[in-house]
Amino acid sequence: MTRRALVAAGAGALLAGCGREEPAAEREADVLSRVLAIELALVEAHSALDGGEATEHRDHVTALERAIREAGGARAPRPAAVPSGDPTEAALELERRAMAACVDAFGRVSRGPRRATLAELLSADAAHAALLLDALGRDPLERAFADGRPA
Amino acid sequence: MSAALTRRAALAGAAAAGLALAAPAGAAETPRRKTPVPPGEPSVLHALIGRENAAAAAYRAAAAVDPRLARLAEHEADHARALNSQLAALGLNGPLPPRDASGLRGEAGRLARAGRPADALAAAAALERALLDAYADALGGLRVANIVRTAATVMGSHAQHLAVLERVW
Repeated sequence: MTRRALVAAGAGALLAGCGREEPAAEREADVLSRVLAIELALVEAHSALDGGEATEHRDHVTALERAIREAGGARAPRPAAVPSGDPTEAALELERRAMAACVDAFGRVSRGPRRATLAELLSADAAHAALLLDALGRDPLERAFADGRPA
Repeated sequence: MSAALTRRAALAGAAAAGLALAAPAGAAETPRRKTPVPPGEPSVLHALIGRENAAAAAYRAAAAVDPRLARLAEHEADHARALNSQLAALGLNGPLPPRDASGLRGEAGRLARAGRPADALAAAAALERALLDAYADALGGLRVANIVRTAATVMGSHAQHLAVLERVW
């Protein structure tokens, strides 16, 4: 039987049975804590800028803390360091790190509510990054994929 | 979101019954394959590719009204290519892009038919919101880590499109 035929015969079952999901080598609480550390830094970074993004990031922090508790985590992570220098550049750098952390986490957390939380965070962080790029006089749509990498 | 859930349920049901996958809302009819798309990951990818193809065609048409939208057409085509690569890794082909924008329906159709720049931007924002909903829904159910991550980066791109459409342009 060809690979194509195998897939057509039941890809869903094959995928479920072949271990194609990334193994849960790391606790989900730890994965989410890495994102939380960056979101905590984003609250600080955006507090130095005009606009309502700091409030949005506080909401992200609350949502992540709840998700981490539900995943069995307890200790709050230390916030990531806010890069020195221009505050808009610092916020952009952190938004990019948050996007990369969210994308990585998507492949490591179970389906359902935690993915929904990550989707909200990634959407907001990606939008913020575009707006910060525009504020810096750069192309706000620098790449077709919001993975946190610069153009 | 409820509309997206309904759409996914309908897609899963059709695939489980061995039926050919219906074209997603907004896509012109361009049947390519006769074998059914199996349930699960492939059917979700197939539907998302159809939506990206439709969005790219709509943006290409709307670029005649506002040339900035041509950039978004390129992004949507890039998204479709990336998702097609994931589907190809499963041994399947995605839907072909529509030949032109004439058969587009839903948000994509409204964008393609917009006659003024302001109407095109409003229609584009509506299309991007619908795409965000579709990806948020899809991400809740995908299982393969690489596919999940690819879909997530595309969803983030749509969030950037929406931000630029609403707050920059």
